[in-house]
Amino acid sequence: MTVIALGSEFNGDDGAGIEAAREIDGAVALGRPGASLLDWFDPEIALVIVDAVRSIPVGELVEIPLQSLSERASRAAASGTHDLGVAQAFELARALGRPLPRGVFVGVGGARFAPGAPMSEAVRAAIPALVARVIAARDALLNASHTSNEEPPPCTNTGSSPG
Amino acid sequence: MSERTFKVDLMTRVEGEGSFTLTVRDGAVVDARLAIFEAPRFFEAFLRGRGAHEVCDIVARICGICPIAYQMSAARALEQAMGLVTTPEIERVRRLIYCGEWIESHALHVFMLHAPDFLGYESAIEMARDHKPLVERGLRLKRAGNRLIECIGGRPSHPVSPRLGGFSRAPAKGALRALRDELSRCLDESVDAARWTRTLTMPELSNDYVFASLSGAEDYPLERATHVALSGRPSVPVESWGEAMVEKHVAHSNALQATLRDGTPYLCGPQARFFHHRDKLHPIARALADELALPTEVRNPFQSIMVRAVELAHAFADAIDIIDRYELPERAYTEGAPRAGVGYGATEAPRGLLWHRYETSDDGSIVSATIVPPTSQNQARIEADLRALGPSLLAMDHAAATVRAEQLIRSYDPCISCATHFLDLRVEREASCE
Repeated sequence: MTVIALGSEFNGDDGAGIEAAREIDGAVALGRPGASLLDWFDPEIALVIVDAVRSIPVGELVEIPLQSLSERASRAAASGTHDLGVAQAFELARALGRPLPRGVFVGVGGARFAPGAPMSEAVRAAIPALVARVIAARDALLNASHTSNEEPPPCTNTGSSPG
Repeated sequence: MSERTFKVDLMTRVEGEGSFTLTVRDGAVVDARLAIFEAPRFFEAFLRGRGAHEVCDIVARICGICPIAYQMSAARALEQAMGLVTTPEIERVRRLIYCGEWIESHALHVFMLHAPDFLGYESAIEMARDHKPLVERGLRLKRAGNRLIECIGGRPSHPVSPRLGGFSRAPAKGALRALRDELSRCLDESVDAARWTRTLTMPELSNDYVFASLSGAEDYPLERATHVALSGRPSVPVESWGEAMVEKHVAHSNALQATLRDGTPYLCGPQARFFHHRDKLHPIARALADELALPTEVRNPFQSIMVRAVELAHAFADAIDIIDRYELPERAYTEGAPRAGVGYGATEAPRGLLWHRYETSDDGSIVSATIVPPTSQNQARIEADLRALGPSLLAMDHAAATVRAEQLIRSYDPCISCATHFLDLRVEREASCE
């Protein structure tokens, strides 16, 4: 089980996932890993991925099973980027025929993503709820593993900081 | 009169956004503009007043793809300002981590960004459905570069270990040796990949370039240099590069455009390095270039993918050699005392030379900072090449012409950091009859 936080704390609401990760033991802040996110895809290790999203009201939380995340990919965003977003990374993995990881994506709606922008008040106010939602998702996945008598893999922490 | 206008929107160099417009009227290019918004200028401003030892960590944030280039150029400049001399052992580690950056950046560009243009796909994702082994190879090579960076720098992006005088911690010999097998396999794969680039259909275009690349070191230019070599012109000491080239504002862009002082655009990056230093490539890469029949003067910008692939093999081979000779340095860094001074530093980022100048005060804080990145230096050259490409687009259908223009821009591997998208191409046609 690994909790992965994505985003940049230097881009306003995009830092919400990183901020939440500071409150969660063992969470790995990957920043914007692009295609390198695929390096963390292991069908044996469940993931909870936390990040800010644009497509829902500011401060609202959303939970999406990872297996269906690639359906949310934006073709426009995938057409020429240096780095892939999380949905495009899943779409790439699917296109390559790689097994997708189990788990859940937890997002918080954001509005400000420009470099240097301050975090929205609504997003900042939602951080505690975001942390709670991530922890609940993590615990649910851990319980499911125990229930099925699977030995959960140890938490992974590379010591990475937000990117 | 007939007129066609091609536009590329939302191109960013680091964190900003830009656009390009190409207008061809009656067969002649009447307008070729590349507009880029330069986030690094903000970095120059907020570096003022910060301590010299903070600079490497701050400038690493300019780009998620080439943070080491920024760290190394800054370290060079500030070490010169402080009179700080590093050890040969540390210099080799610097070259090694820089090899990692070239590997991850070149692999990303060759396989994920540029290859879809040649193979007719909108993205690497779409290409992956039909060319799985190719994309998997690109990901493997990129991952090897990231692992090398992480081993030395503490993490795969925005590494934290590089600092003035060296590294906060030198990598353990065993940790580097543990990477050797993977790097060796990837070297073989990179050689195969370079051979594959030869099979790609290269659009025809031939330009007369002034090639600008660092020089003065024994090795293929990377982490250190004394001069900037210019084709057909005298070389320029790194300390004088700020006078040899001129950065200027253009009306259509927030970005600064660089040209030589006489207004001549120049090209930096793989083609320039290859032109000046082909003989300094690792023997494996040099033999590869010969096998590919690459001319020393690569005048077709589309062929940059071949040169980049040769440099990818070079970086793997160079890294393996450094690891094989590596011994843990006695000291990971050399300490220097703060003092007032001016320093200049230039290194070869994956996409071209990156020049820094800093002035420090008595307490070592930054008085002024100037950062001239490679994409800024290539902008005027890109516009010139778009002008050269323009007439040939008229014979093509609309979709093919837009792809071709976009493909040309990607040939320079403009440094766009972690924004969610890079190029969103829109083409508008205008035609009227007299």
